[in-house]
Amino acid sequence: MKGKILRLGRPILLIAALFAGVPAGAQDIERVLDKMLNPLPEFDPFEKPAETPRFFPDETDKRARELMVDALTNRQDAVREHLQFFINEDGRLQKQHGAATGLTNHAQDLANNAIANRERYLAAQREALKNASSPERKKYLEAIINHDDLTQSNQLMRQSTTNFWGGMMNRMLSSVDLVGVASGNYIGAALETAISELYALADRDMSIEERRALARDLDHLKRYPDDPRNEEIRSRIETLDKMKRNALARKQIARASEAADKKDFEKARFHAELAANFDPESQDAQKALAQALKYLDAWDAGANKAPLAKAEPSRSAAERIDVEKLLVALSLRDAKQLERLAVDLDKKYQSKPLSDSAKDAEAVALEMRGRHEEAKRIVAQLSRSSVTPEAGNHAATLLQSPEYNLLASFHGAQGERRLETVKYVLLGEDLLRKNLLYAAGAMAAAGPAAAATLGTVNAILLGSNLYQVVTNNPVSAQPVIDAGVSYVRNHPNSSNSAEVYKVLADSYEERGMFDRAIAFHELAGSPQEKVAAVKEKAAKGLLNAAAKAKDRGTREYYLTRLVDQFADSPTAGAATKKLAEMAKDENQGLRMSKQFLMENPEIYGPNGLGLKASLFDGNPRNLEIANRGVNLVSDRELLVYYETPWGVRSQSYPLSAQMSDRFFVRLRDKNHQVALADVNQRAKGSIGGIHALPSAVLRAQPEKPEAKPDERDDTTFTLVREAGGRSYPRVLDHELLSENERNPGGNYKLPPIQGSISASRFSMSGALPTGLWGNQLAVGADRKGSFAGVQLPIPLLKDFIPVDFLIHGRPGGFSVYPRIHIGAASGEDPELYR
Amino acid sequence: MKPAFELPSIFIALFGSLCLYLAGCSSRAAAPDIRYAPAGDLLDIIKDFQRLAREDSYRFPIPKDITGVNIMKATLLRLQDYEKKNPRQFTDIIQFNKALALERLREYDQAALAFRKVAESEGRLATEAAKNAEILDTFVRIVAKPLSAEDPFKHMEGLDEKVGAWNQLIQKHQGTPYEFLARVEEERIDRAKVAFVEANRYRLKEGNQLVVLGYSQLVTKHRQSKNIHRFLLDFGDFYALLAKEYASQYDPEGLSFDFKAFDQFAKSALKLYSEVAQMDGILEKIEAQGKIEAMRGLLEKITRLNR
Repeated sequence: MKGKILRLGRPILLIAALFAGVPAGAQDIERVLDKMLNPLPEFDPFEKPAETPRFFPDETDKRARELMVDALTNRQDAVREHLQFFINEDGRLQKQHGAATGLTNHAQDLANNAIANRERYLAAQREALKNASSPERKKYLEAIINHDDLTQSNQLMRQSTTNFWGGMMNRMLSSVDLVGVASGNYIGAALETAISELYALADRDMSIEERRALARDLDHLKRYPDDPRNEEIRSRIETLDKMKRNALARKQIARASEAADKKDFEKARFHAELAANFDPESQDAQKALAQALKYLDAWDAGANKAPLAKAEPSRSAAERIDVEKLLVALSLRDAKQLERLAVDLDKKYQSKPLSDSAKDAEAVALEMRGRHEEAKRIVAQLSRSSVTPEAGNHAATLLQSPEYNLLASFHGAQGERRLETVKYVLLGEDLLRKNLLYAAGAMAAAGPAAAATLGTVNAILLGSNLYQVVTNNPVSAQPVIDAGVSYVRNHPNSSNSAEVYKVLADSYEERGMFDRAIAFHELAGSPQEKVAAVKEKAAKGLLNAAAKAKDRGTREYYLTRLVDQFADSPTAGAATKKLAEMAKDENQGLRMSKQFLMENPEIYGPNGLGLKASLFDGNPRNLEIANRGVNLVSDRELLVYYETPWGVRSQSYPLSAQMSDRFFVRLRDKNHQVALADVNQRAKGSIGGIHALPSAVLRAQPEKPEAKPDERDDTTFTLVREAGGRSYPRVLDHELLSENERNPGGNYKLPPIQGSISASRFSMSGALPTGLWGNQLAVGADRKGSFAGVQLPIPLLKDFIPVDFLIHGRPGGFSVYPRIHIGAASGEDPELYR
Repeated sequence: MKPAFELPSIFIALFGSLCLYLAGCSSRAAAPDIRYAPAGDLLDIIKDFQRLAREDSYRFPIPKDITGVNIMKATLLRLQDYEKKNPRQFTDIIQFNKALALERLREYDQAALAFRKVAESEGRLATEAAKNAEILDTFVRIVAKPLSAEDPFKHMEGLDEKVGAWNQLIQKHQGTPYEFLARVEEERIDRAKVAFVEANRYRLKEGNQLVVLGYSQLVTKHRQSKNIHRFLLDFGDFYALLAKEYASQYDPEGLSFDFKAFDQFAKSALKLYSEVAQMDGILEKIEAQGKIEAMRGLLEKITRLNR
């Protein structure tokens, strides 16, 4: 092909050269053509590797080696001697050259690590902290000191106490405008405060900080069994443990009581027994258990009476023969004969007790033939009008039995949900509390005239609840689904099944379980348009899930599922397109954008991939890397995208094992740096390192050969065979982007904003980004008029009294509200302390 | 200033809301005591029994009567009480229905005995009872066939023979209640086979694989059974056991531990638990949800130990 082009192009170029008056040799022409056809000729994007530093052992080096050996063999005196040497040597070097060996800190750490006694160890670390040479060193030593169990426990207990009293104070202060109080308006504030306090005290639970402190105290006891403070710590553990047991028991008692209210006494007993296990001394737990047992005993007593039979009533000979016939037909489950007999006897004994039995027998016959709903209709008729009241009562009881009348259970569950939904719309979660809070302040300030304001508040609350119900009903549909499924499982061919299928389809659709919704819509015989609409919703759901999926495998799974299951839906086209995109070579491997590389120069620099810095200098004359950056196709191949006058062109380069290893080491190193960086300096979502860096890269496990294809089939046995371990490819399919590329415009988004209703007006507040002086910004209007304000920590009081001032500027003056600074729940694994 | 007459209307609205709320909170009506009233005459007892006694005991559990008690057990007690109170009345009918209840409770020898008593009388019931007694004799023979307690392979052979025998009965009595009873028995033997292999897996070559194979076959063959969710949970439990055994054998904090192997066992267990947890209207759902949480805890613990 290239030859053809050369043959065609040569005369054209010759002619062009003649016209231009430039003599052109055949060799030059080939070079020009080559350049046109290959815009990146022989370009080497890699820097020449830097020379390995040469090292000549001196006294410092010898000492460093000895220090490590002595630390490993636990020769503490020798370690201290080496430490002294490095202190002296650094002092000398500082004086002479203004530089130091940089080894003193390491020597200090090795010396301190050998101290077994906790107090002495911490004292040594505090001493080192005083002499810390850099902010990083200071942070490191602070982290070591704070990592101590007892220190953490004490801090947590202090935080818990601060939060408790601070929370109480804040509730009091939230309605105290210092300027207003100074002018004598404090009755409304006092009322609001009292109500808030009453509610808060009723909700008192063991705080997460106290639970963390308890765990840390127990760790401390285990780690330092001979610590002199252990007696005091044991006593604190006892108190906290009792609090914890009380809290656990209280929760179980609440559940037991909730179950007892619903007449579910088995469940009530279960939770009451659990409560008694948590806190055997709890009187409430014993009371709840006794109550549940009492009800269960009553049930048992009733159930024991049920298996009793009555004496056979006296009947005429003819009646006796007919009864026997019925009994035989019933025993043989001969539905046809039973039905015929029942109808005849019903006519024959009209208005006599036997007609009730005949009607009921007809219902049994229908039941035997699987016509449950028809049978139930007869029982219902019997419950309304029977000759004997016993027969009527029995029929009514049968209809109430959840085992027999599953449809009634289903309708009951539906009705219950509707009622709960209406209750939610009308009352919300805590209407009474909200009303009391709003009413107290408003009534105190404005008297009966505030009722109008209160009405407005309630209208807003109602509207918000209604919106919540319409968009995402918080009242669970699970009981309806359970009852519906139970009905259709038992009576799949019943005439009412279609209605149940329809409700189930809607419920599953509401919950976003489209697969099931479609299946039930099809069973219910819903119109094709409806089924198609649900299918489209399901397809869109899968497409969204694919877009949100972090890894390629999951994305592929969602997209292929979409294409397989909803091939006819309009969304399937988009999914196919996405799959095709993903299949392209350039969309595989570890991809790093130019922006990401520019933000992390270590990764592309001489100690990373070794790319030339000129590729990133913005100068197209010396070739510039394209925005797509580079793509590590495998651990031995790098695909570089260049920005050329002809558009983006890619070129593949081999990578040596050394370069590849160097790159991965640098990537992990950079990840570590990001993790250590200050919260105000690193990108959002980068806690613990670079955002979403694959864990396999972080763990740097040695690469193992890929399994043979025949072993890769997902049979159950491969699990056992793979116990030896199959590895992942070293170069994972992943994309590393800068924060702005990952979340375009994210840097300029507003912080989360909360809205609140105060009387008939509004207020909005949002947290300010960390690092700014203020920590909250608010605008709105309250009963005193419009305001705009900011919550400011008081610099002079910072670290002394944790108080912020909320300052509201308003026409004609300003208000100042003091607020105690409360620590937010911090630390890992909050669920382990709940 | 707003007009004062708005005040009562707002309080009325609030009061109304409050009443509605309290009405919703009030406990439901107490269960009617009539549920526990003694059953009526024999016709009432048999009607209630036949109304609820499903023929397909393989797919559905034994129903409960209006008091929430197993209908077979309740009927047996009621018939016993009826016999006491009305001696020598409708004896054959009582014995026939007792036999029906007993066979559903898998008391085949007692049921056969009751049927034989009925067979001695005359009429349609006697013919049917004789036929049923004969079938139940076959049931008793298969159940009573001894299994080798010495040799595990002969024990397995014995179980296989029993499965074969039940299968023949299923074919023979297709469409009758005895088909379902035979299915129930076949299912029990299939489950027993898996349990036996599981208990002896370390004595057998590739024992773990055999157990997995056994469970896979069990859940495939008995998809329609009322016990399918229990089998799925048991299968999940076996994978969970394998995961725990792996973590005990190879210290998760050590270098020989292969997290991927552990993770695959755990994921297989989770897959089976999730299958049950997403089913609606079954009690096993609660158990499955708890097991998923437990497995999450184990995975988290081992992940951290291995880090």
